[in-house]
Amino acid sequence: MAATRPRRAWIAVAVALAMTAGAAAWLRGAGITSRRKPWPLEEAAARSMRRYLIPGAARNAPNPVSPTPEAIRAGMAHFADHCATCHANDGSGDIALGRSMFPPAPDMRSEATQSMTDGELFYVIERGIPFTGMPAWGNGSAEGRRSTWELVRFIRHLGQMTDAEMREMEDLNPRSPADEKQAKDIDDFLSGRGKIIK
Amino acid sequence: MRAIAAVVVSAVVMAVAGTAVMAHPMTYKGTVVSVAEASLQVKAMDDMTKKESTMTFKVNDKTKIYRGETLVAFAAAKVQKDERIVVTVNMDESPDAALEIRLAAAK
Repeated sequence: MAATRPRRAWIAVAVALAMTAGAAAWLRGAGITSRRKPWPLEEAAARSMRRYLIPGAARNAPNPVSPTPEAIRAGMAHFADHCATCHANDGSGDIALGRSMFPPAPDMRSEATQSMTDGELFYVIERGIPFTGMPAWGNGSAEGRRSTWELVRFIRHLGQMTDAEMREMEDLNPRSPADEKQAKDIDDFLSGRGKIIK
Repeated sequence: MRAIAAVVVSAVVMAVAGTAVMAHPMTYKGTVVSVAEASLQVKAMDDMTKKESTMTFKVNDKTKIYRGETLVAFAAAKVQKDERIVVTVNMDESPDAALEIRLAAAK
């Protein structure tokens, strides 16, 4: 009886090694891409660990910025200028950069994001999330922290965005000199100036 | 414990730095040839051939249509034959689906 235990242990080790080698070979054959969607288990585990790793005091921190129209508007302007490149103006993440990352930028209007506390949202914006595309935006200043709390207010507002607000955000999105020139060319063309093809 | 948990997070999400691919938008300026329920034909300069050609663009629920500065539905835009139009597509994803359509403001 005693002699079979080491043998079983060695068999278990051999099976584990074989499975590991098989998995490694399969993964190598499959290659890597950041275009795939996370598996449900990956996503659930990552969200759970993120929640666990955020200190309780941070998670429970109340938002010191009141949900006034001014605060939401300030958050909207900040979001349009700094966040929409990856998260899209409506927070859906349905934009080229957001879709192409792994994990992809989340739909911030969904329950998975909206169920996070204000403190958790603040923490993620300030400190980023390792091994994702989410940078740490915190600069340590009181002004920066207030700006982040305003962003949290805006994130709560994402589900109630109006067409007028969406249009305003498009005007606030950063544009290169080439984009500005193209916008002017389009305006000129539609106004009747410029060559027309008939 | 937190350090170990951080390593577990990394392993579970199969840490590979996310690579980002920029969209490749293309804008066509031209005139409307014909309008259908969910598409329109536009005569414009083809960027690939550098020749004028008539192109068909599909209109779907992701298409944003602007009459002047106003966002409107496709039917409400009342696109007319021979009017000036600007169509933007994403060449990387769907070169024949309009992402954005811009028309002159209603008179």
